[in-house]
Amino acid sequence: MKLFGLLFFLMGFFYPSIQSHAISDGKTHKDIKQLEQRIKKLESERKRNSHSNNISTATGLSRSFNPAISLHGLLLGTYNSEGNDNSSQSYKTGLSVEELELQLAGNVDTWFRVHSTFSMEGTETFGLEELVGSGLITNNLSLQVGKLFVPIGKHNQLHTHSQPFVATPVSNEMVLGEDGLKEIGFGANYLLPFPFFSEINLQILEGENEDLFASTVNDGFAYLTRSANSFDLSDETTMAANLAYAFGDNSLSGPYRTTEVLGVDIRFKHKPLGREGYRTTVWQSEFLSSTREQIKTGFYTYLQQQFAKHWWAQGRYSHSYQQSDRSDQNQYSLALSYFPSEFLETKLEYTHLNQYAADENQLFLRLNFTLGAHKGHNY
Amino acid sequence: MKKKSLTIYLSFLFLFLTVTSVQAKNINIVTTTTDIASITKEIGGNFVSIDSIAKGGQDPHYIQAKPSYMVKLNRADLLIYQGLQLEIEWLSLVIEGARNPKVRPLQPGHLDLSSFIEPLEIPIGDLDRSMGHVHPQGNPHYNLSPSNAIKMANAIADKLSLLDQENEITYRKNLDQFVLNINDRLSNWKFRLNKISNKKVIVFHRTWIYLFAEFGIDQIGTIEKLPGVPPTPIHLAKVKNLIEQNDVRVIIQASYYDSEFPNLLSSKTGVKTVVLPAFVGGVPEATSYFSTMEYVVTELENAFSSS
Repeated sequence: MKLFGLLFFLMGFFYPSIQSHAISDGKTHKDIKQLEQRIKKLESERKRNSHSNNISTATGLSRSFNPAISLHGLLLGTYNSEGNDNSSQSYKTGLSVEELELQLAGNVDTWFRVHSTFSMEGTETFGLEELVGSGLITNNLSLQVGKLFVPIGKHNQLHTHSQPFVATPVSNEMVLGEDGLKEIGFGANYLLPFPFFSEINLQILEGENEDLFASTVNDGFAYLTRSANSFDLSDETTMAANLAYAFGDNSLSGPYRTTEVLGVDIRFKHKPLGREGYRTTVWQSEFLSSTREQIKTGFYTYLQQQFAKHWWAQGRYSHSYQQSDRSDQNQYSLALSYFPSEFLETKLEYTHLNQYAADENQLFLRLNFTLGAHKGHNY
Repeated sequence: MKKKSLTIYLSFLFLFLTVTSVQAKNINIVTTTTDIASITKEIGGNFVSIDSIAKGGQDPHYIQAKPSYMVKLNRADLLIYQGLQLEIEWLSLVIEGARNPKVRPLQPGHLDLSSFIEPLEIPIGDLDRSMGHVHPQGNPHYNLSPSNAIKMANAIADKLSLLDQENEITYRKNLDQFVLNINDRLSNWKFRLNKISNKKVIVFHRTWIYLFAEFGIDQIGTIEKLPGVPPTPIHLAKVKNLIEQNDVRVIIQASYYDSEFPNLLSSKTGVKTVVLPAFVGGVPEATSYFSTMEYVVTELENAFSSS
């Protein structure tokens, strides 16, 4: 035992000199020092994390189960050749916070997931834009409940930050109203057992949209059915074709008491495989029509091309028609976008609006950013 | 005539039943990357049908969640993925759209292979997006280490044995063979690369860290300023200095990245650029996990030797 003690003592005494002789290379010694410092830093980090986690037991405040939070900001500079003396003009010359979107998403429990979006247009009004609870019931069948972006056409399902142009297509404004069709309701999605993607949606909606429904009776609901389909034409090209039909009571009486809405959209997307993968081309078109006392129709078609890794160029034509006054609008847009990363975009857009009133020339410069944990968008 | 028709009918019926019964036995697997698909095929053999979402020449960070991927996953018995947030941009959308309870997280048909390896480059301290495309749980390119491939194969064999106990013996036998093959080749790959004294490299993206750890290759710097962030002229000048000061001979990039910046540095410094497959299928020669690693080692060996 004494012998072991003596050996330990001698090793302790001689160890530093043994070490310094063994490591003659100064660089290696420096590397070891750096590694030791890194280990110490890691250990203290681990201790600190473990300490802060433990405190939550006593305080009841834990961040472990917080939902994913993201904030989308849209800052807009606008020039409009017309309506500068009209404060209610849609796109008026000036600088503005176009919109802030706060999104929270997470699993409520094993069965139910919630995704919510609060939006603030300008700097004053803050409200609930979307609140979707969803759950998988059985194979292929899922349910949704909440305030939904009604799936009529593609554009109506997009949050402002993911819309490809600053100016809303005149077809959507005319048929679905300025704010689009967002309704409280519930529905079911069923993935059909086909070799390609084919989904049926059925929804029962409150029918509050004043441009379309707004029944005077409390049980005047709106109903939607939609067929969504997607086909891979090759590994690089995909085509989507969707058809949606909705109907519901409105505030009118007699033969006009029911509104019908039809939406058809088609989309081709070509995304090369490999290192040229960013050279994506998208062609999308959408037709909308509604009947509420009168027929309103409209369509848009656009082409987007990602011509360099961080650059997109795009052009769109949109047309709307209203039967009552036989007035129509033609809207032409051209835009150039720069994405330094998937979380930041700067867009320069020119839109010419040809209408019964004076034509408008609009110029937009928009900064679009995403802060926080935001998952990717659907294809 | 009637007898002949009946015979033909019965033959077709028998063939149909045989085919469907064979199909029924197969485990339908969707993987996110081609490396996982290749290793799974080695273990599962004829008892599995495998479909990889990402192709070998694609950067799996930036796949888009096509509806057809949801259909594939809807019919799957098992989803195997790389994890460590490699597929964070798109996998959750595909799982959600697939509406298949079997492959959801925590279900038997859900396998995250990153749970079975030791991740490298786990960032220290608080993270934010100014640091570029960082992976908070560690670098996800662990498939490029043959030692990790063994761990991946073990996890896959365990999972297949759990889902299909009838064929467990085959899966275990295939696993033993796979490990034997990898170990044989690994000794040879190490022998070939160990002969090279100067193995200092510059990389485009931090894709190869596990490969370098396995083969003692010294990564001096990256062409990207930060992960996923392209270089600025100042950063490129710094990388050029690094190359000159450290006697770096080789720049390495994955086949799915643009060669613009590596080629620019090559032209300024005379350093050789090597384009390697980061996954099976990344180049035409990389048809399986073994041939991919063989290609990677051969290209490195040639690049180091000729420079």
